[in-house]
Amino acid sequence: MIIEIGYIGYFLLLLGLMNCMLLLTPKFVSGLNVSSNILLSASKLHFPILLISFICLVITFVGEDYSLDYVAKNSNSNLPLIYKISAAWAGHEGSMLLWCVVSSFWMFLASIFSEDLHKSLRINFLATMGLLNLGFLLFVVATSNPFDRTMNVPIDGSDLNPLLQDFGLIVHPPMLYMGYVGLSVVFSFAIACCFESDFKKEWAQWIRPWILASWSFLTLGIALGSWWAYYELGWGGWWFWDPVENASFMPWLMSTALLHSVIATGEKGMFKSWTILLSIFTFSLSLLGTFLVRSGILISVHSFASDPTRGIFILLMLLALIGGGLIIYSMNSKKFVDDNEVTLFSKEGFFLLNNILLVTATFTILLGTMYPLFLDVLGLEKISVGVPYYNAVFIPLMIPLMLFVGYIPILLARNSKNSQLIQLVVILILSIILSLTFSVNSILFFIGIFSATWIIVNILYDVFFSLDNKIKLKNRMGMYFAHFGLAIFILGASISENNKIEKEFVLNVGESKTIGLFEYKLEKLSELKSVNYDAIIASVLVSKDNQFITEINPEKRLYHSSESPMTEAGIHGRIDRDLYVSLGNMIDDNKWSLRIYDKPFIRFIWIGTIFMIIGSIFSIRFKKKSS
Amino acid sequence: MKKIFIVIAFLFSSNSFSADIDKQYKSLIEELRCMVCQNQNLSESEAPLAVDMKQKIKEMLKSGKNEEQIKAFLSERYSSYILYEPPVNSQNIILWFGPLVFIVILSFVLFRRYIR
Repeated sequence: MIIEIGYIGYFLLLLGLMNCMLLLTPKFVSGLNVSSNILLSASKLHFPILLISFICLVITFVGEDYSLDYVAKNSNSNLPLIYKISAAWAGHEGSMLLWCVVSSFWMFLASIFSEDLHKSLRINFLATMGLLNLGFLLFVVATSNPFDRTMNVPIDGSDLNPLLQDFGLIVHPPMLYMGYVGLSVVFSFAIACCFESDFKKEWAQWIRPWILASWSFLTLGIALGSWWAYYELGWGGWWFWDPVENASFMPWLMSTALLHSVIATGEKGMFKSWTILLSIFTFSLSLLGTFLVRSGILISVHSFASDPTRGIFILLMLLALIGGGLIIYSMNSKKFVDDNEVTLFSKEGFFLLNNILLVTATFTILLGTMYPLFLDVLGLEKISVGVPYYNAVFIPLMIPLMLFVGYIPILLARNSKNSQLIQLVVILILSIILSLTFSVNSILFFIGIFSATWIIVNILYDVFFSLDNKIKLKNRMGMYFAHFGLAIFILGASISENNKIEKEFVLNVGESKTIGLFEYKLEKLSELKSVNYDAIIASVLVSKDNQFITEINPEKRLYHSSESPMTEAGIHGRIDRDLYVSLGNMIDDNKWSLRIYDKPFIRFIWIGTIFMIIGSIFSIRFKKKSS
Repeated sequence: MKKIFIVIAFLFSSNSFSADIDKQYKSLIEELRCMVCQNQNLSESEAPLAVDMKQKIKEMLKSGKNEEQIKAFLSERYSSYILYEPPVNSQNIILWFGPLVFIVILSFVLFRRYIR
């Protein structure tokens, strides 16, 4: 019975492939004049086909069909059910199928909600999406088929990568994919607009919620990834500028630029061709990120060269996408004439500054990520690009950006010079007080605290004086929430970095050590046997002035089919402070090295991103009326 | 099973060297790459080689070497791949100055096109 499920899943993949081709026929065979019914129904049908195929894959995992190579390599009979399910997208093949499902889902939505677009635009839009879906699905069927059979069927499977046996990493990839692929909607729409005679304001307004929705998913996906790295990897950091992180951060920065420029296009018909260009590049960066992560090129240029089929397929798709997109753009960009000119000292002028800084920041990260790869390919001296590089080139770009963000409420209110001065003095005093409270010891952290205060106070000031103007508040609600979230994020990042205490030392059972304000006692060590791993759990008692505060339980886990132990940090998290304990190495039975981190306000980093997402949802919900 | 957890111990008590050196040590091991890990700095890594290197760095700091000397020593030995801050040299000139050139060109193009 279970054997058939795998065949059904594969059959549905092929059906999806045919459906995609069917979708494209009216477009390429007879142009627009033929009824577009085939295209419309095929674009809706694609989602259920792929969803069922994916469900089949999940069933083969739950039903332990180890005659499927992918299932055999990524699952094990002893896994808890939840991880058997999530293993379906833990490996390359399954996650690429998930990508296709997500892509078909976005096309489904685009097909349903595009009824009010006029015919040629809608058809070109959906046809472009169909073409992308065809490309993704071809990739899966040709190079990464999760339904491939294997000759040597293991009895119990092998195992799921222990790092992936975790809730954070179950939800992280689907969220990220929703964001990445959501941007393909934006890309397709931009391409479709190129075939029209103008990029109308209504269209820019129409596409904005799609940008915001993708941006929200991307933000959530990245935040989940960083949260996971924080509690799972055991070194207390939340961002390392690893190429995999950069791969998701680049489209995030670009889509942030885009969601601003599209406001100006939607409200005043400005930046038309620039917004289209940004849309093309934003999705290209999503695909580049996927190429980097999926081709194995990051692990080593040579591992890529040894099995290049997948990498080359994505690379070709990437080239077709960027090349095709840019050719279509450059052939049509001349006809997009802006309705209004921009003055520097206006909302739109600030969008332009925002775009310059964000696009440059993206370029910087692209350079930092690709440069070592190029050197390696050329056989030059290998280099490492890490935190010090990005601190030197990325942060200087962000400082003026934060100052502009904080200035927006003043710019919109156009207050008299006088009250501006008072505001600035209040903010300066506040940030000096804050800096003294947290004994800030570097200019950089002072700038961080200042810009956060600058953003927050200016927002509160504007909100306070607009309480009687409900419409204005409603219009600005999304922006204020998102910018407020950004400020909270900056506060969290600055204070947690400035005031962190990190210690590493050895304790015997029964011994204790005082670090910062707290005393940590290694009370006992116990062993635990779980279904999928064995663990040693430490019990660390935390007290302050001999008052017991909490017990923290860091673990070392040994998953059954993995040689290297995994660290599971123990965290006592409060809004103003995380006490973080992770087990290092065992010295002898009763003696362990411990890492203890005291991180004030580190939770603000993720709380900030939640505010950003709330802001984005507000902006989707309350669409601005065009002026 | 416990045996698997045992890796060569590195014992140190933070009392044995001053707070200043401790601070230097911490910032230094965060900027150096663990040569046997995928992409981890020395501070995070508990690989035996990383542990040895941290020990070596600590000794060098105690014997009065400064950060620059230690970095020079290590990149001599392991190539500049060990530094998370790539050296500013002719090979890396685009890496370091590319962003500056980029922002100048982008600003010029966009300002000329859009700003009245």
